[in-house]
Amino acid sequence: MVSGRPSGRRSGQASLIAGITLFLLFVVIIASMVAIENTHAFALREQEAAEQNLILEQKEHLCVSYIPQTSQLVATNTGPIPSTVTGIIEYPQASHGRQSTITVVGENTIIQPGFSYQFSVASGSAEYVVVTALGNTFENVTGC
Amino acid sequence: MMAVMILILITLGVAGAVTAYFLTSNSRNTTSIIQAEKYLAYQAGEIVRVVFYENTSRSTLFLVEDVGNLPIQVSACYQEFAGMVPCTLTTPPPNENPVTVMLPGQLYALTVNTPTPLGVVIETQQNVLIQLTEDYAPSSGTPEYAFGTQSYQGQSYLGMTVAAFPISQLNDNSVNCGSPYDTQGYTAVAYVYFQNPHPTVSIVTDDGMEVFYAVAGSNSWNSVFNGNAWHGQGATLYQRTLNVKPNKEYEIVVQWFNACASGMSALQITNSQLASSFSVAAWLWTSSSYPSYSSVAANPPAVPQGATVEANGAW
Repeated sequence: MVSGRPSGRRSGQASLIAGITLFLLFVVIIASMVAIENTHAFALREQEAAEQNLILEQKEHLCVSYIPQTSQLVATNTGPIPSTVTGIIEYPQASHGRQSTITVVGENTIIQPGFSYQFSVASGSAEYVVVTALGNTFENVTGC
Repeated sequence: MMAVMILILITLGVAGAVTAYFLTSNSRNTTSIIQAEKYLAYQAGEIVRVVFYENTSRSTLFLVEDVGNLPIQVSACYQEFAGMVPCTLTTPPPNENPVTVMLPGQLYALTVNTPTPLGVVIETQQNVLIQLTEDYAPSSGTPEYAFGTQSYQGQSYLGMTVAAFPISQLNDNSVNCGSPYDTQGYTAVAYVYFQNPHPTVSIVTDDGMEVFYAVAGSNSWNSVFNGNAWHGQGATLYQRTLNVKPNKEYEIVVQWFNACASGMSALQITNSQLASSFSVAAWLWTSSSYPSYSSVAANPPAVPQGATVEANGAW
């Protein structure tokens, strides 16, 4: 009777240590699964965004024309989705015997479908190119 | 009591070993899975569009936009056949301040030290390769062509019938012979394999023409005709046999100009196989009757210093 007490206590300690070990293992497994799931969700989100981007890119359409009298570039959104203009490239007249240099004016303008926006640009350029956030470019020299 | 102690020690030992094994192996697996998923995400989310590019005499300026939703840090630039090429990322002209990261929705200028814009690839900090421009068109056949302005079209040279230049700007049939000059020209770059150590290069040209060759990526240029064909003339045949290493890739450059009236340009290289089509820049020269040979030979793959590029194309 007396000698049974210590044996029971040590057996209890062993069970406790085994329990703690199992609990730690459980925490490690859960943490690993959460970390994997998070990065997987990150990958899926990026893939979906890329696919969406491609669809929108094909739908986007702007009509661009230059008004020399006022040095303004008029961009009309003729597509079904809003367009964000991120920049305007001003391509100079070809100069004889000299390498041409372009100028880029940064913009951040949203044009809703069916609406126009007038950008003030430097006069005298041979060509103006409107760049959108979807990576599309629309020039004033091509037809709408 | 001793038995219980041994039991506890064995339990601890086994549990410790199992935990240690699980932690290390699981940690390795977890890390590799997470790294793989991250790479997939960066590969999908790092999207760059080239919105505009132009050649300068020694480099190509790409206006690029990050259209994905991840910032992009460029770690290296490559070009097909040439390998790694130096490049710098800046804000767009006219400011051109150096930057290290491309932010989504912003325009940047990437200047790549290559006069030909095709086959350019960038590598990002996450080891993702993004192709900026298409590869040289895969091609087979021998490097030969015969193009000319209207009065030459239909005539036969080097066994070929002269056709119109595929780049329309070069088909000016009445180039102004005096000042103000409007000399037309082209710079064509292609890659070839020679099947024989002694191929023959034949050209027929009106006015001037030169062919350069170098082992691909070496930038060590040799002139085929040493400038002998680089002057105003009617359609004239020049031929020379080369000494080259067979089955090794070479880069060949053809420079041509038409300074007066009508013009034509024919090329034929025997015992050779094209590895790419000719990437061509058509240019305009107005400051004198035509670019000096020394300026062309100084940097063969580039358009002559001072010329204005009118169009890019391929044949």
